[in-house]
Amino acid sequence: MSGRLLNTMYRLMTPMEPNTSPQATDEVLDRFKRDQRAAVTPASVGGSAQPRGRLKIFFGMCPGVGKTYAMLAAAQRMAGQGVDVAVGVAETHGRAETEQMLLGHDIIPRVRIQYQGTTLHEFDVDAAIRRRPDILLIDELAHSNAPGSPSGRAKRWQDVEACLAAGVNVYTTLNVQHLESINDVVAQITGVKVSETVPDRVFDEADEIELVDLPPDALHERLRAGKVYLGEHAARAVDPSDGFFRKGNLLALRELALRRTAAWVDSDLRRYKQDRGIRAVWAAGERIVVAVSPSPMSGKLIRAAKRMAAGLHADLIAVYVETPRNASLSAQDRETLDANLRLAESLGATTQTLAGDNAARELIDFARSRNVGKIVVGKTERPRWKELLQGSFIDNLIRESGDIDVYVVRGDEAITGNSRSARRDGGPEARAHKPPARIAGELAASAGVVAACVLLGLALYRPPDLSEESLILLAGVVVSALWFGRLAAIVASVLAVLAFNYFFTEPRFTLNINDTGYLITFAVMLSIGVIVGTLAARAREQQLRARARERATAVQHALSRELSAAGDVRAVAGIVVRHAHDLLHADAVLCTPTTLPGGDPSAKPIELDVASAAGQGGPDWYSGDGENQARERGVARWAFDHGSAAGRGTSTLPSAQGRYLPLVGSRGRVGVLGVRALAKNGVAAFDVAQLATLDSIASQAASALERVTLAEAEQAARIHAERERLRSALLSSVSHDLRTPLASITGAASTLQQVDELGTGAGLEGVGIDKQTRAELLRTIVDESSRLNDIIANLVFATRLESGSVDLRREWTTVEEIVGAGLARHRNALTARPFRVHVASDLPMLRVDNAMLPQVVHNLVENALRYTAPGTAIGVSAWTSETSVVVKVWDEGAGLADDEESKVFERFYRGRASKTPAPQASSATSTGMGLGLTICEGIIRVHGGRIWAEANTPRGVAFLFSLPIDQPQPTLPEQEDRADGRGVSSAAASSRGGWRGTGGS
Amino acid sequence: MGQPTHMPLVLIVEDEEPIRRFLRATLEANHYRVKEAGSAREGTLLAVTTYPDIVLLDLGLPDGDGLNVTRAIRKESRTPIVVLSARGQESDKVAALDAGADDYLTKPFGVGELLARLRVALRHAIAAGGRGADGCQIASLYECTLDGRTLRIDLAGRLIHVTDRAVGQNPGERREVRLTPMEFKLLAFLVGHSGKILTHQMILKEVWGPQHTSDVQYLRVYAGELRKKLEVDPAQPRFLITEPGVGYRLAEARA
Repeated sequence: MSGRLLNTMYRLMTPMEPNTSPQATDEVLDRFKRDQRAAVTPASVGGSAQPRGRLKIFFGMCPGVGKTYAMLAAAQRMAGQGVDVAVGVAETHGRAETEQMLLGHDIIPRVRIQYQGTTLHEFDVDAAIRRRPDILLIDELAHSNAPGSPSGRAKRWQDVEACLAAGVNVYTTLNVQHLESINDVVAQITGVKVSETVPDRVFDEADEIELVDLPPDALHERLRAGKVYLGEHAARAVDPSDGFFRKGNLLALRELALRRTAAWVDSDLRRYKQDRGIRAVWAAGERIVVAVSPSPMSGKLIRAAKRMAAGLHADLIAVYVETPRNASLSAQDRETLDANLRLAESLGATTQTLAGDNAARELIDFARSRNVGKIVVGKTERPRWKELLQGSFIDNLIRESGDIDVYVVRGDEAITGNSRSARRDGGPEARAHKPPARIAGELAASAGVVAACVLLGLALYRPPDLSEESLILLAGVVVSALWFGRLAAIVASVLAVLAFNYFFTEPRFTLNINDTGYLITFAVMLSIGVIVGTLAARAREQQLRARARERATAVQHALSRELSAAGDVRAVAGIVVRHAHDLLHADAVLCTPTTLPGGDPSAKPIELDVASAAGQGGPDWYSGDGENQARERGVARWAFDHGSAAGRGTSTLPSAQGRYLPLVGSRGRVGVLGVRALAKNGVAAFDVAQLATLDSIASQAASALERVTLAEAEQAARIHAERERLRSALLSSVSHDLRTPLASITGAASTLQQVDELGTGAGLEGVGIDKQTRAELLRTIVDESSRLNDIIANLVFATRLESGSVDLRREWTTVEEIVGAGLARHRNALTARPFRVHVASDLPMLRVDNAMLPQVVHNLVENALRYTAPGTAIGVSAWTSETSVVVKVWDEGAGLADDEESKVFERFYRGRASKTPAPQASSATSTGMGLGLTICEGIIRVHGGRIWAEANTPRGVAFLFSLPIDQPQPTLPEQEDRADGRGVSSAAASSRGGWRGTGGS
Repeated sequence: MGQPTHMPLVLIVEDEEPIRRFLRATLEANHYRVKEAGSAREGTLLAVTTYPDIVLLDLGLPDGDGLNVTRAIRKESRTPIVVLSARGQESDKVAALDAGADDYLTKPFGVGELLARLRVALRHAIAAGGRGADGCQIASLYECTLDGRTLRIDLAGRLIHVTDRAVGQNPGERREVRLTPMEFKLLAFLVGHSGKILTHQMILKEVWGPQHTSDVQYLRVYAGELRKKLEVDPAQPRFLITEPGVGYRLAEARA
């Protein structure tokens, strides 16, 4: 740093540190610098859980002073000390010596994006954060990202903030003219308006500022040497008379840069001292209010206030007061006002909109409530008579201000001053929204009132006393005022005066007067008309406003009442969308994350889904496959992820169609509300009042959404608990039922194994087992294995049925086939029993899943085999009733108890021990999981049929299922009427014909 | 079977080591030579390089679908393929059969079943090798005895006889069965592939023509008629067996 700078800093510092000797200051400064250096060394990097990264700005007065070079040089030094440095962005502008400095650094590849036909290379924030260097170099802090940049952020400083938030230390560069608060000053000095600005906050919060300083002459030297701009740019840049780099400009910019740096060092030093608890030297909490208006000049006012606040280290609050007079701004004024408030926000101010009758008093009340010491307002440029007539806002403010300082700054109108467009309408009355036809009608009506009064007066005409007539006309004026407002009142009073003169005063039916005393009457009538009219109009306006407020309250109340009744997310979405449409005249979309946040943030990103009322998708500008819609969803996602508003009318991704507000409940973000204003008067934007309404809707939606999601989560938890209970029942069942056959298998197999080992190894031939036992053990293994297989198959199938993941493959088939396939695997067991099958020959075809239905027969027969003693009869029969086919599986066992008939189809229900036959029939009547009947029930249910149990006659139990007969029956091949030389099978023809008739073809 | 080179070579494509071990033991004990592959890639490679007589292919391989292996092998050769799959995957079986597999075994399966499938598949392959690619009608004579009933079909003479041995008034009496032309055509096709699975599609296409491949009801009706004439109890068929969800199988000829 140059000596002059240190000198400046010193001078700036000294008066602020009255109790500190210069020497002490230097010591503090030294320690501070040491700490700063220590903070960027690797030892401190990656310590605790992701502290915020540190920001170092290489600050310069203008392009070409060597910021990038200085940054790269610093990075080289750091790399030399073993610090991991990565280059995110470095704009070398083709300067050779700068490019030299890039060598050896790890460069993060940039992302290529297509924008308006050209390929741009943008910084890849995510890659940089993933790379996690100790120090990341990002040149040109003020850069504006091309639309469609990977980060989705409009400005590079936002990318830098993201890196810092992710815990990455950043080196960056900045020119003084890009600082927001100095922007307009620079524009005045240089005549060049810079559109790329960085909020002062970013600069103020930087952990380290290194001023890269170069005297103007030296810079000119460099320019001439072509070290800054290459080729013909160089010649143009150094033109001393004209252009940005002329000496006057450079001197001014240099001073600005030095001053800003000094101010930063000062504030940083103060912060350092406060952090270390050295001594608080400042009265904390100074606040400044700046009054904002819809005037384009307000921007200047706000910047001035910001500089003042920065100088005083005070918080800045930008306030707009909405009064009846300015309640109806033109769309253009709305936009300007919104832009002004946004500018204030970007300068680090908080914004506030107040409403009330008297702007000055509202402002003062607000200032008192916030303990504000200073109010900054713009100087009005209004005619003096108007101020006398309407009162001056600034006069009022000063009169009310008391101990609050009021600063009047040039270049702005009074905050409550009507915008130009409103003033052009000719009066302060909020008439802009009244259609001209209505105004004409009102004027005609007031003329009619006056005419009626004239007629009444003529009827009562008794000269020379004209007091009744004048009073009657006055009454007409008052009535007009009350009914039709101020303009009508004025017109009526003029008409009344003229009518009084014409009809009643001598000479009558002329506008001449004999008695000059009537002039006083005229004057009184006129003034009473105007005064009463004004009062009446104001009363009416207040009434209208009260009514509007009441209506808004009622609507809000209705919204909250409806929301409190909403039971699920879709209902909430429906209500919010409808109210947004009614209240804001806007399309709305409510999005909720598919999974509630709060888990591991690094887990798979949460998808945002449109929560819409029944039968509706999202609006077409949001839901759809188009690129624009995808971008809208991206903006919504951004708003959700960052917890701040994005999209149209905000500073993030303002090119989006919708405005997206994160919905934040008491436990975190619950969704996003997107709104798109429907074009009204060709303008699709929200005004301040609408934004307030929107905020209110958003907060109500957030709490409603949180409530229903919590309720849904609770419901899900209950279902989960129920499922868990079933699962544990299943588990215990599985562990028992699977282990039983496994135990048999293991036992049998290990016996055989041991016998083999003993027999061959130890010479104990006597231990061997006979051939029959051996065969029995082997059969046990085979039988129990197949039982195990059945249990597993049942489990799998039951699970599939349960989860609904079974898709039927319906095919035409015959009952005979179903029964035949169902019995196939029981053949061996059934041959040992009396077994009867009767399937009627005239059954229609069924359209069923040909792999599942045999399973039903199989399971029912299995059940009969299991719960009856060997030797008892079992049978299957099938017949048709009117609309269905019935299949019955019966046995002659012990039967079911009365209450068992409905229970048998429940999961894991097993026949009671008392009902089961004697245990000697162990292998044939093996116990199994009570899943077989449940599966039957499931299969029949998905086929639209019915299954039930009933007592069999004379004894035992019968399981029956019925399946609906599908109509129409399928077309069948023509009957063959020609023999193959060996005769026609008449049986085939007759039996087929039989059920064909039933099919009703 | 004295010469080892005359023993058929079975390629086992299966990723489960215990199952491979059991298959190897069983097959070697039954005079087969065995090659093993543990993955789809290896299986495909060995199938086209080692000229196995038959492939036992698991459908659920870790590195790929058994279906793709089936198609890959079919591109190169007509080596019979028997797929192994689990129960409840009927559509997979049908897909494998449509892709060119010859038969399937449902896990778990017994040794008897395994050997029967291999035997049938090898027999049909040898017959097809002798007669050309279409490989129909390997023998004009079919005779099979099950549960006391003998079914004898002479395709060349269009003669069908059933003989019930032990039961009925006239044990040992031979009855002639008369069929309609369509029934005979169906039965002839089944006899040509006796012991082997035939999907509904295959049968419909061959017997009724390609335009009727979705008319399963035709097949049901004629299968029912055939059973009435051939089986003891049509609801407990022994000769014409339903494979639920897949197709039909005519019992393998045996004395």
